[in-house]
Amino acid sequence: MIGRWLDVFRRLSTAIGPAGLVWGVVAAILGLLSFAITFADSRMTRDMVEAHNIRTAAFDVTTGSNDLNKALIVVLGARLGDRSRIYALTPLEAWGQAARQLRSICAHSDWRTGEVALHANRACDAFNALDIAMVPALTAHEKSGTAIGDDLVARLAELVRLTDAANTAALSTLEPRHETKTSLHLTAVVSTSGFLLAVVILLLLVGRSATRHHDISEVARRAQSDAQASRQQVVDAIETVPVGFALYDKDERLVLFNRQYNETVAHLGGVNDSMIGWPLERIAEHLQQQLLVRYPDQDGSHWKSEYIRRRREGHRADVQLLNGRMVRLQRSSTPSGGTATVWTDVSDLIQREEALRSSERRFQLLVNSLTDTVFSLNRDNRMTYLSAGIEDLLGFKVDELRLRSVFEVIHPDDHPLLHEVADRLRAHRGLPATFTCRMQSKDGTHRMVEIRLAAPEKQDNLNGEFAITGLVRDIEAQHELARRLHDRMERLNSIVQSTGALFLLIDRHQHIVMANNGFLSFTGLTEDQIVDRPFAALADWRLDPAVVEAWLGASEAQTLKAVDYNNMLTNARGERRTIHVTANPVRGTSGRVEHIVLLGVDETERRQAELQLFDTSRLATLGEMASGIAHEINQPLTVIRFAAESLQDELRETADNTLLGNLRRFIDEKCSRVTAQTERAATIIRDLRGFARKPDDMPEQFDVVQALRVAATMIDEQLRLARIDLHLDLDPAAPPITGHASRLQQVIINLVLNARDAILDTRNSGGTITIRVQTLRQSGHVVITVEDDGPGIPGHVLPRLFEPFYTTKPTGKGTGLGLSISYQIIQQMRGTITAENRAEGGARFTVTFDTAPISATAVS
Amino acid sequence: MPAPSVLTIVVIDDEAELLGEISRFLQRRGHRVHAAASFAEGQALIDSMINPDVLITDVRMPGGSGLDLARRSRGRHPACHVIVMTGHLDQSQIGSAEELGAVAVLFKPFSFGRLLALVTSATEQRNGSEMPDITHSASAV
Repeated sequence: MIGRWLDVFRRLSTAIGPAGLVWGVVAAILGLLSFAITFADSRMTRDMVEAHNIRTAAFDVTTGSNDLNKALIVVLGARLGDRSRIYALTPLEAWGQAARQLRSICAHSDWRTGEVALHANRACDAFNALDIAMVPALTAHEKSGTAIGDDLVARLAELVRLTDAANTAALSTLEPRHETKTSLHLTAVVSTSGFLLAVVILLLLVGRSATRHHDISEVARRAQSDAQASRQQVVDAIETVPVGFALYDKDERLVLFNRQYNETVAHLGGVNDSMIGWPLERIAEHLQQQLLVRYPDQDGSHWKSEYIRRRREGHRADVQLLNGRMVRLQRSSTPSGGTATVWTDVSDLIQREEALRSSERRFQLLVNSLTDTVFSLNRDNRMTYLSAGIEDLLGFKVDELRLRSVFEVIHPDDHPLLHEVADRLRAHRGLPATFTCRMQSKDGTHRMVEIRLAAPEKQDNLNGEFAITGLVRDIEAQHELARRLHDRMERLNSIVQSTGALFLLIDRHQHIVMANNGFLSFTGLTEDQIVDRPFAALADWRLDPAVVEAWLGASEAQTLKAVDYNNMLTNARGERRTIHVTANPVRGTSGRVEHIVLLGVDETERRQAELQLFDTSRLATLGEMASGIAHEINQPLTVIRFAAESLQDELRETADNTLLGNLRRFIDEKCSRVTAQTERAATIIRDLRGFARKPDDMPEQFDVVQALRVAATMIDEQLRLARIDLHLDLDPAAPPITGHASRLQQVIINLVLNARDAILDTRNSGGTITIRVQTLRQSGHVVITVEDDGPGIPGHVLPRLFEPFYTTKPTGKGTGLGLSISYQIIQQMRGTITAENRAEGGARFTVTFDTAPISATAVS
Repeated sequence: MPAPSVLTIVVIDDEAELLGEISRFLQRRGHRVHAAASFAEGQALIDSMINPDVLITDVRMPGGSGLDLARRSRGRHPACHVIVMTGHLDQSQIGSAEELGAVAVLFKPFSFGRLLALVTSATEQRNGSEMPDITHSASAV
C-alpha cells in the first residue's frame, strides 16, 4: 500500500521534476491559505447576508404589526360589519407570514441570533394565540356585532411589543464589522490570486512535463502500435498467402503462423496463438500426442522426430497427410537465423501435374501415331520439334535431326522454293502455305512430300522456338499414282483421239469441253472453233432436249440410260453421212450429271449394205416362200410325170398294129413332152430355191463328198435324159469344209447343168461330165472340179463369166444369174471358183476351199 | 438283165394319186405291192407285214416322218431295203436317211425308170450282189 503510494509519488516526481515539486508545495500552501480565508470570508458574507435577511424580516414584521395595529384600531374603533374580517385578517395574515419568515430565517441561521430568534419565536407564538382567538371573535363580531374582547386587544398589544423587541434586538445585535470584513476580503482576494497563480504555474509545469511525458509515451505508444501494426500486417499478409507459413526464431520458438499452416495440422488439433513462443520440441510433442489420440491405429512413434527433422534439415519434401492431402514442405532459413517453413497443398497441383503429364503423353501418342509428320522450326530454320512420323518418312530418328537445319533434309534443287515460302510466311503471319518438294531420306533417296506450314504470330511462337510450324505429308505414292494416272489419261486420250469414231464431250450447260481428232477431221473444224462454244452451234448435230433435261435433273439414285439415234450430217467434204450417235450421261462426284459423251460412228456404208440386205432378205423371204411352193409343186409334178410315164408304159404294152398305132405314137410323143416339161418345171423350181437364203444362216461343217453325192442324185435323171454320163471321182478322205452344203450343191448343180447345156448346144446327145473331189495334202485344200467334153468356153466370154446377168443362152433358157450366184456363194464360203478350158477340149470349173477351221459354232 | 423276181413292196405316201401311180406301175411289173396312205397306216402295215423286200416311203407326211417309218422297218425287218422319196431334203436329213440304211433317196419328181432301177438293185442285192453305189446306178441305166 505504502509502496504503491511511494511508487506513484516517485512516478509523479519523475514526471513533474523538482521545480514542479516546489511550486506544487507553494501552490498547496497558498491554496490552503486562500481556501481558509475564502472560507472565512464567505462565512462572514453569509452572516452578513443572514443578518440583512433577519433585519429585513424583522422590519417586515414591524411593518406588518404596524399595519395590524392600524387595522385593529379601525376595527375596534368602528363597526365594519362584514368587512372587518378583511381589514383585520389580511394584515394579520401578512404579519403572520412575516413572523414566520423571521422565525424560519433565524432557525436556519446559527450565527449569534439567539436573542433575535427568541424574540421571533415568542412573537410567533403570540401570533398563533392571537390568530386562534381572532377568527371566532371576528366572526362573532360580524354576525352579531359582538365587540372584540379586550383580551384580544391585549394580545395584540403584546404582539406588537414583541415585534418591536425582536426588531430592536435584530437591529442592535447584528452590527456589521465593515473593516474586518473588508480587510478579510482583501486578504482573501490576494491569497486566492496567489493560489491561482501558483496553480497556474503548477499546471503549466505539470502540463509541460505531462506533455513531455505524453510525447514520450506517445512516441512509445506509437512505436508500440507501429510495431503492433507491422506485426499485424505481417500476420495479415501471411494470412492472405495461400500457403501455410510458420516462422520459428533462432531459438526454435514459434513466432507466427497463419491459418493455412494450421490447416495442415488441423487434423491433429492444430496450433493456436497460445503456442506462440513454444519451442519446436514442445509443439512437436503436443502434436504427436494428438496423433496418438486421434489416429490410434497409425504408427505415430516416428512422427515427432520426423516433424522436427523436417524443420531442421529438410529443404523440400512432399508429404502425404493422414487426411489424404498431399502437401509440399519447403524450409528455408531466415537472415536472422530463424526458420521459415512453407506448406503448399499440392494435391491439386500434383493432380494437375499428372493430368498434364498424361495430356502430354496423349498428345505425344496422338502426334506420333499420325502418318504425317508434325514439325516446328526456329528462327534459324532449325528443327526444334519433330513427331515420330519422320522416322517412317525419311528413316532418321527424331533425335538425329533435332536442331539440325531443315535444309539438310530438303533436296538442293528445292531450297530456293523453301526460302521463298519462308519469306512469304513471315510476311503474312498466321496464313498457311502449302507446297510440294522432295525430301532426302537417310539412305539418300528422295521422297515427294507436301508440306503445309505457317508462321504463328510473334507472341504465339514461344520466343522464336516455334517460328514456323507445319505438317509434312508423304505424297510419293500419290505422286506415283498421279503419274500413272497421267499416263493412263494420256493413253486414254490417245485412244479417244485415234479412234475413227467421232467423240464429243459436252458439259452440263451443253458447252463443248473436248472433241477428238475423228470429230474434228469429219467436221473440218478446229478445236479453238468449238471448245467452250455451245453444242447447239454445231449446225446439224442434234440431241433431244427432253432427254437432256431429264438427265440434268436426275437425282443421284436414278439410273440413267444412254440414248442412240441416227443423225444425218454433212461432213467437211459436203457429203451427207449417216452418223449413228450414242449419247451417254456421265455423273460427276456430286452425283448429278456433269457431262454428256457423244460417240458417233459413220454408218453410211453399213446402212447401204443393210438396205441391200433388206432387198436381199426380201428375196430371201421370197426364197422361203419359193421353197415351200417348190416342195408343194413337186408333188403334183411327180404325179403328172407318173401319169405321163404310166400312160407311155401302158401304150408300150399295147400291140403296135392296132388302130391306136398312129395315135400311140402321138400320145407317146406328147407324154414325153409332158415328162420333159415336168423336168423343166423341176429345174425352174430348183433354180428358184437358189434364192431361198436365210441371211443369218450359220455356216456349219459338212462332208463335201456326201453333199456332192446327193447333188448328183438331184440331177442324174436330167443327164440321163440327155444321154450324158456323169462320172464321180470323190476322194472319200476329203476333210469337211465349213459352209452351207445346200449352197455348194446348188453351185455344183449349176456348173453341171451349164456343162450339159454346153454339150447339148453342139451335139444332140452323148457326153461326159465329171465331178471330181481331191484333197491337196500339203495345204489341206479341198479341190472340186466339174469337167465336160463340150465345146469349151469362148475366149471373149471367159473374163465375164461370173458377171451377173451375163448369159450366153438365148432368151428363155437360163437367167444368167447362175454363175454370178455361184461365184458369190463360193466367196461367202471363203473359197475360190475359176473357169478354164481343158487341153483336151471342154471346160473345167475349179472350186477350191481352204479347210483351216473357222469357228463354226452355230448359235441356236 | 436277169428276170426280175417278184418282190414284196410296201409303199407309203399320203398323196393318194402318187401312191396309186407307183403302186400300179410296180404291180404291172409283177411285184406284190402293199400301200398305206398315211403315217399311221404305214406303221400298222410295217408291223403286220411278213418279210417285205422293199419299203418305199415319202418323208414328209402329216402324222410323222417317213424316216421314222424307215427306222421302224429296219427294226422289224432288217433285210428290207428302204427307199425314201422327198421333194427336198437338207443335208442332215439325208445323213440320217443314209444311216438308216436307205438304199436311195429319190428326189421328186423322179422317173419311173429311176424307181424301177432302185427296186431292181434291191432285187439284185437280195440275190446276193453287192449294194450298188447309187451314183453308178444312174449311169448304168
